[in-house]
Amino acid sequence: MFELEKISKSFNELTALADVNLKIAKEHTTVFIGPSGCGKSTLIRVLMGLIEPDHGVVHYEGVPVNADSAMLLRRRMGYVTQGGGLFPHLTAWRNITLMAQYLGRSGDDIRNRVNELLVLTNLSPDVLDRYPTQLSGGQRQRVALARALMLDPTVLMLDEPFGALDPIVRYQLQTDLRDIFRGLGKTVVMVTHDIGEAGFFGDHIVLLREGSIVQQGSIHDFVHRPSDPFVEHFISAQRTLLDSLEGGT
Amino acid sequence: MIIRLIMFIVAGLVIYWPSASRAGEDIKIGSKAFTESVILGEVIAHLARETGVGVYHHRQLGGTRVLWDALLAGEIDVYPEYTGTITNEILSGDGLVNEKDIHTALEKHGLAMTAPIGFNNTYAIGMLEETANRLGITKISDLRGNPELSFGFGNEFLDRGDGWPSLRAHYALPQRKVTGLDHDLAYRGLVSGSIDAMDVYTTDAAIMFYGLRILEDDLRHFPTYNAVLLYRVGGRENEVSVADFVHKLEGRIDESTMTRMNARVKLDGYSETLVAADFVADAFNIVVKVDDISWLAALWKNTCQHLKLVSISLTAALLFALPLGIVAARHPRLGQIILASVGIIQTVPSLALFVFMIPLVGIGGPPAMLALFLYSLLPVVRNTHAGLTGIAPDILEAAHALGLPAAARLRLVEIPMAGGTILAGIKTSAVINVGTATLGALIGAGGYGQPILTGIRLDDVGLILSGAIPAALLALLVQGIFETAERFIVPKGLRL
Repeated sequence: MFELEKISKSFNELTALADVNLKIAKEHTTVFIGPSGCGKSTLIRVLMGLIEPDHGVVHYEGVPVNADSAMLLRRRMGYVTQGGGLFPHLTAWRNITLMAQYLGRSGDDIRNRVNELLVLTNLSPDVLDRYPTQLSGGQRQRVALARALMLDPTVLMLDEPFGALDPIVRYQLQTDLRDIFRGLGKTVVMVTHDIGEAGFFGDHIVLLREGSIVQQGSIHDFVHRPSDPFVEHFISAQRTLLDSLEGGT
Repeated sequence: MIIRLIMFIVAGLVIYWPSASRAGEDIKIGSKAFTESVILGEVIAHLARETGVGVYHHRQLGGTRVLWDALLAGEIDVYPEYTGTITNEILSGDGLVNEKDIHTALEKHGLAMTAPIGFNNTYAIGMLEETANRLGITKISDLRGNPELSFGFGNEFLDRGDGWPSLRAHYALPQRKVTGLDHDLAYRGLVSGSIDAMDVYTTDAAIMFYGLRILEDDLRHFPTYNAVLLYRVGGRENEVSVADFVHKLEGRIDESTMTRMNARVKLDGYSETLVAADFVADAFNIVVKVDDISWLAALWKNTCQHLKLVSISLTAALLFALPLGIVAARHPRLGQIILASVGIIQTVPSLALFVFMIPLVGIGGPPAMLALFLYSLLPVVRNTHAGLTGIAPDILEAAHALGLPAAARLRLVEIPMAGGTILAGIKTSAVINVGTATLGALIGAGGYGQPILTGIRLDDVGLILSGAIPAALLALLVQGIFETAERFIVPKGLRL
């Protein structure tokens, strides 16, 4: 689906991505993981053409992603960020349907699609008239997800989609989302810093550190065959707290 | 939604548009911003109307420079002037000595001058009788011995070739406390004791009223200021008729007649139109019916003129400033230049900006609108820029990520998000505009400034308030309208 060749990007001398080569498989869930500042959020934005790399090329199904092609390519991608990125001046309904209305889709098509999405994202219809500030955090993420899925995109991009949610809501949304991904058979790219989340969703996990890929593979590979001490440490650090609690009981 | 607002303003403009169409053939008369000049302007108007042509009198248009430029530009056809002002001020570099020289010099400008109309209104220095008595001052040379005296001079007198600079040099006067202020306000300064001496015109009614002592010009500094009419020759179809009637006034108004007319307006409160009508009835047996404009009709006329100034200049400013603000937000470096430029315009004193516009677009409404237009730019440009650059990055990114093109992002996301800030800028702009428009009267644009200006000239507080109060109310009304509009224009989601 995506092919990245020697992607580099710096912001004011600060290296975000250094010579990244990567292939992202179709209809799989790929998770970018790593500590803060490792370049994972930059990488997902480069895939969407929201950030232009200093060097290297991204191909989306053979088409290079650049200033000319990115806008149209993005209409085939859905995007959800940590806060949802909903437009505060529009109701949930307008947020979800903005792009479809802009593209001149018929009212019936739009209504039918929104009804499907309400079922899919487990949203009640009465949230549609509310503004983002009137929604709970979980509802905001579900609305953002419905907006991302409105045009039935080929690819779904999620940047820390659960980051701002409390644990119970997060767990519900995580399980709902995994079911959705499995059911839809879409190509999903997700960014997280949580190895558990990465293992929960990811068919393929890509660990980044200081702008470079350290290891990629399944969660099984990461746990059992860490490629270097950093990977081992990254995984064990996140497990220690839970293990110590379990050990204590 | 901004478009909706502009349509709303344009609709209002169409409704309030006063019937501005005056026939191009009208004789246009100008007068300076003091009572005598306005009376003479009205006398000319009555005489002109008698010949059957249409007449428009630009009352109290401004100072000498404004009138002279307007005459040269053909904005007016005739105005009352004084020989001393022509020789010492307007054409001071030409070394004119007698009237024949003046005629020759004027001819080069396509202008002509009548013979003197009969009175000499020269400058003089006046003091309160009791102050002059106490210090034993009777002539200007006596001032030399009292260096502690403070002077208050009209702004024009301070700068004129025959004004304070040459008076000081001629008499070697030592005084340092010299203030520039409005001529009519100077009388009040004199009475309140904040100044000791001022410049007066010898036909001023106030000399009698305040009991001023006129100091003898013992070293003969002030030239003769015979009143004459300056008018344009050629270039207009009705030029013959101008020359026809203006000469009727030659030698017809002596000093006591003029002083009496000034006193009737300034002290007795009659209108210039009425006093001038009484004069032409006496002198020429011309009966003029003076319609006393009712208080309400005057208010309505001023309101229409004021609204016209504000609505046209503000609409134009919005149409220009909104795109400019958007450009400034899109291109940071160009934006700095744009913001600096509109900022600089704002630092030009408003009165100066109004006067600067005269050579470009003449007198009356257009230069005032142009100046108001320039003044209205900054708040709108700055707030549009601030509103657009202040939108949270994740919102902008979300709009990008959807695949909306730039124009759609602007229309659907950025402008609605920045709407509150932009509207606040428009509101500031409108309120400033309403207030500043009162200065338009100084260059013949009318509006609420007209009664304020006349009120200052006639020392009539009621008249000042009849302009100042509606102007303040209009500013409040405008503010109220925009606050109501805010409720419809700023998206509900941003007000929660």
